[in-house]
Amino acid sequence: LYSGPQTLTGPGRLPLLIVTDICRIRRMRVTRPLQRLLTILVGDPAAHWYGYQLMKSASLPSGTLYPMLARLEEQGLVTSQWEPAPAEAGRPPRRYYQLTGDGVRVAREVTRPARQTAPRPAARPGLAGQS
Amino acid sequence: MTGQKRVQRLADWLIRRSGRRLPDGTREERLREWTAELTAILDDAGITRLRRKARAIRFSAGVQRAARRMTRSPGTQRPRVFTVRAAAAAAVTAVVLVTISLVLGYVFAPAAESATGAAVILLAFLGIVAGAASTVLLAALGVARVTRRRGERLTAGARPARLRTRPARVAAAAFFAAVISLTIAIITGTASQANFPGNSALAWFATAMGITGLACLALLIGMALAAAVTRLWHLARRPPAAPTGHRSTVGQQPH
Repeated sequence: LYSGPQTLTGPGRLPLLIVTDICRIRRMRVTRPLQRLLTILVGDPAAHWYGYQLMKSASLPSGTLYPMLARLEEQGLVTSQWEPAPAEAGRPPRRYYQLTGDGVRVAREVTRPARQTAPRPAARPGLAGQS
Repeated sequence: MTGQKRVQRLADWLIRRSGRRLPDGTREERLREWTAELTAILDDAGITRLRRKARAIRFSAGVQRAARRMTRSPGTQRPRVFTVRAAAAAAVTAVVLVTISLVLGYVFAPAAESATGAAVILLAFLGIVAGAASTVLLAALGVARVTRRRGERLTAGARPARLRTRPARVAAAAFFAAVISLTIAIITGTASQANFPGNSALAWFATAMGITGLACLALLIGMALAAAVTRLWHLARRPPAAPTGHRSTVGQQPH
C-alpha cells in the first residue's frame, strides 16, 4: 500500500516520490476528463475552485466532475473547505476545492504533455467574493 | 410560479433524489454542496435565462449519475446485468420486428400490383428482417464488451480498461434510424400505390427512405462484423491462463 512520500530522505527521494505518486494515481484511470480537470487545477495551484467553476473551465458535466473530485480527495490529492461566509447575503455557502502539495506534484506529472497546449484559465478564482 | 422557480424546484427534487443513493455520512454534505452549485448556476449572469435553466436541469440530472458513480467501489465496472437486460431487450425487439414484417408482408401482398410498389415493399420487408437479424447479432456479440478504450492509461498492466460504450450507442442510434426510415418507407410506399396526387414524389420519398434504412442496417452489420473480428483477435492473442493461486488484479489496491 502507498505509505506516503516522506518515508525516505536523501538522494534517492525524488525517484521514489515519482514512483509512489504514479502508484497513487494508478488507483484512478487517467482519462481525458481527469487530465482536463488536473490541468485546470494545476494552472493555478493556490486557487480555490467550486464545482460550477470547474465544470465551466474544464467543460465537464457534473456527473463526471464530482466522482473525480471525490476520488481525488479520498487520495489526498485535493482538499476541500466550506466557504466561511458567503459574499452575498442569502446565498448558500459553497464548497471550494484546492490541490494539495502531493496533488500539485501528481497533476504536473500527469498533465505534462497536456499543459503544453492547454490554455490557462482566464481569471484567478478564489474564495468568497472573488468569483 | 415563475419559470425559474419551477426549474429550481425540479432541479432541487432531482438533487434530493440523487442524495438518497449516497451513504448517510456524506449525504448531507453533498446535498448542501450541490444545492449551492445549483444556486450558482441559476445566478450566473454570464449566460441567458434559457441557458441557465437548461444548465440547471443538466446539472441536477448529472448529479444522479455522480451519485451512482460515487457509491460504486473503485475499479468496478457497470453491473453485468445491464448488458444482459440490453441483450434481452434487443432479442425481444427482434422477435417483434420479424413478426410485424411477416404480418405486413401478408397484408400488403395483394396491394403490391405494380413492380415499383412490390419492390419497395419487398425492400422494406427485407430491411426489417435484416435489422432484426443484426440486432440479435449485435446483442450476441456484445459490441460494448469487446471494444476497449485506447491510449488513456498512464501505465499498462494493473487493471483492465473500462469498456467503451460508444459503439453500442451508435449501434442503437443506427438501429432506430433504420427502423424509422423503413417504417416510413413502408407507409409511403403503400400510399404511393393509391391514386393520390403527387404519386411519383411519394414513390421517390419511399425509395429514399428505404435506401437510408438499408444504409443504417449496412452500418449496423459492419459494426457487428468489426466487433466479431475484434473479439476473435482478442481471443487469438489472449495469453495462457494464469496458474492456480494467481488472483485477478481487478479492484486491487496498487502497491
